[in-house]
Amino acid sequence: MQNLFAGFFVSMLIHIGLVLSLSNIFNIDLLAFQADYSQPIPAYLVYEKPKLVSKKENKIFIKKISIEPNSQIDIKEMVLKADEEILALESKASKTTTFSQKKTNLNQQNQILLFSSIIEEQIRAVWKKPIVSEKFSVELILSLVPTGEILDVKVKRSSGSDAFDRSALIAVAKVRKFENLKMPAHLFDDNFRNFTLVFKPY
Amino acid sequence: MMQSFYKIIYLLLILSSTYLSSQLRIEITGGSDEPIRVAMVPFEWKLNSAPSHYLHEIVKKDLESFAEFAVLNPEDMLSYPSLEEEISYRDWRLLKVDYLIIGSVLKSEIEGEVNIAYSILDVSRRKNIHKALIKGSVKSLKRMGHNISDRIYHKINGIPGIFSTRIAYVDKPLSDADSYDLRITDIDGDGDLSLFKSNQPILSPDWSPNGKEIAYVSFEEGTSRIYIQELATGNRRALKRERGINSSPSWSPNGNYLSAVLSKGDNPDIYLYNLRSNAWTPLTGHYGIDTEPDWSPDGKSLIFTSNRSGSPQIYEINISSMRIKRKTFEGTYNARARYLPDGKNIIYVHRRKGVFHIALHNLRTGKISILTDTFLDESPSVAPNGNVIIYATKDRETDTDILAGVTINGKTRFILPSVSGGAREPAWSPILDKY
Repeated sequence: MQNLFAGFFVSMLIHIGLVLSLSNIFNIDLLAFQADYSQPIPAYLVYEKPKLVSKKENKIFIKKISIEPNSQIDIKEMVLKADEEILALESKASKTTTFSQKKTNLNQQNQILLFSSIIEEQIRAVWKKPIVSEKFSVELILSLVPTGEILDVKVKRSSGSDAFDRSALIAVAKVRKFENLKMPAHLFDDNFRNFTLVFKPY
Repeated sequence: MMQSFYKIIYLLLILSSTYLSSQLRIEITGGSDEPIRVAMVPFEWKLNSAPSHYLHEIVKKDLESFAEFAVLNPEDMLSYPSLEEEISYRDWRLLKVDYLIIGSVLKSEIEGEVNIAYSILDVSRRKNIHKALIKGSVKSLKRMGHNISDRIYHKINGIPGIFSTRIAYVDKPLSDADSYDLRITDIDGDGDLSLFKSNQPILSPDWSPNGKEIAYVSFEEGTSRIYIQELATGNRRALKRERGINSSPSWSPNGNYLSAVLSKGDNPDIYLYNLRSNAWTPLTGHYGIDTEPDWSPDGKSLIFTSNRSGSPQIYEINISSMRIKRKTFEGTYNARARYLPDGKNIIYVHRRKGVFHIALHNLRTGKISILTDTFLDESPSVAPNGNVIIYATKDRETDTDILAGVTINGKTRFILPSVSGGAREPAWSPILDKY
C-alpha cells in the first residue's frame, strides 16, 4: 500500500512539474540550455565625437522626408509616410542588431577556444609529467589578472599522487604569466579571470 | 514516500549544479618531452678522511640511466650551496633546473659511521619538498648513494626508485659448454658475484618477496630439482622432489608458497608447494602442457602458459575458485608471462611475423604494445617499480647472449654489460633497501 502511494506521489510530482513548466510558470529560458548559447555581451560605450554621429543620422533623416517646395502633398499623408519610414528603419535596425549579436556570440566562442589553446600551448611546453602507472588527473583553479599574470593557483581536485600534483603546480609556476592573452575585458572577466586547468597523462 | 521525495530533491540539486558550474575548463593531456632537469650540488664533506665515492657522481649516473632525468654537471653550476639559506633560486632558474639537491656528509658519534643530511628543492616554487637524514657505514657510501637516488626518484616520479635493486641471472660462458653459473649483479653492472656454480644446467631463478632468498632449478643430481638458496649465508635447501620435471618456481607474494611445474601426472601441470608443510598440491590438471606460472601481486591468481588450445597462449587461474580464463588471442605464440606490479598489465614473449618480441598487454582493455625490436627476445622480468623490463636476447653482431632492458613506454633501451657473453634468464629482485 505504501509503495503504491509513493509511486503515485512521484508521478503526481512529475506531472505537476511538467504542466507547470509547459505553461512556463518558472520562466525558463529554453534558449539558455542550448550548447551554443551565450550571455548577451555587456556593452562598453565609448563616447567619441557624439556630434558627428548625430549629424549623420539627421542627414539621412532629412533627406528622406525633405519636402519639395513646389509639390502639393497632404500634410497628413506626409506624416504617415514619415511614420512608415521610421518603422522600416527601426525594424531594419533591430534586425541588424540581432544578427550582429549572434555573430559576436559565435565570435566569442571562437575567441574562448583560441585563448584556451594559447594557454594550453604555454603549459604544455613546460609540463614535465612524471611516470604514472595509473590514470591520474589533477584539477587546478587559476586566477589571472588581465595582463595574463597568474595571481593564484589552488588544487581543486588532487590526483592522489603528490608527484603528479606537484608536476602540474610546477608547470603553472614556470609559466608565471601567460603571453598573448590580449582580449576584450568582458571576455576575460567571464571566462579567464578564474578557470579550471585539468592535467591528464594520456 | 519521504525517501522518494528526497531522491527527487537530490536529483534536482545534481541537475542544477551541473548548470551552475559552467566555469571554463582547459584540459592538458600532453607535456614536454624534455627530461626533468636536476642539479645535485656536491655534498659538503665534513669528515677528516677523503671520500671513497662522490655521492653526486653516483646519483647522476643512477638518475640518467633511463633517460628520464638530465643531471647538471658541477662545472656548470654558479654556486655550491649546502644550506637552504645559501640558495639563489634565480640562478638555478636561469640554468633551467627543475629540482635542486643539496646536502652534507657529517661525522657521526659512532666510529666508522656517517650521517648524510640532504634536501630536495622545487626551484620554480622555491619550496623544500623533502628533507632527510640517513645513517650508514663509511664503507657503504656507494649503497647510500643509490639509496639517495631511489628517494629522489620516488619523490619526483611518484614510483619507487630501483637503483638499489639487483638482478639474478644464469651465466653460461661461450668458452665452456659445461659450466653454469648463477650470479647476481647491481643494475649498474657493479658488485657482480657468483651464488652457485655447476656443470649441469641451472634454470629460472626467482627472488623471494623479501629479497633474501632465490629459488631456482638445478640439474646437479642428473634430473631437475628446485632449490632455495639464502643469499647472506649461501645455504641451500632442496624442495621435495617428484617424478619427472620439477621446474619454473615462482614465489607467492606472502612468501609462504611456491608455484612450480611438475610432470608427475605424465604431462606438465601447475602445482603449489607449501613451504611450511613441504607438500605439493595440484592447481591445473589438463592433458595439455601447463608451465611458467607467475603470481599476481595480490596473490589471488596465477598466469601461466598452456598449449591446451593447440598453440602456446597465456591463461589466468583464480586460486580460490580454480576458474581458468584464456588471456591472449592474438598470434600463435604467447609465452612466459609476468605480471606488472599494478596487476593490471602483463608482459610476455609474443611472436609476430616469425620474430619473438616482448609485448605489454593491458588485461582490462586488451591493448597489446610491442616493446622490443630485437631478434630473439626471451624470459622477460619486470623491475619492482613496474617501469623497466629486462630480458635475454641475442646480440646479432657478436652472436652472444646478452641481457637488454627497455622502459615500459618503449622509449629507452639499454644493454647490461655481460662479461662472458652468455647471460640468460634474468630475474629482477624486489625492492631491497627500504626507505
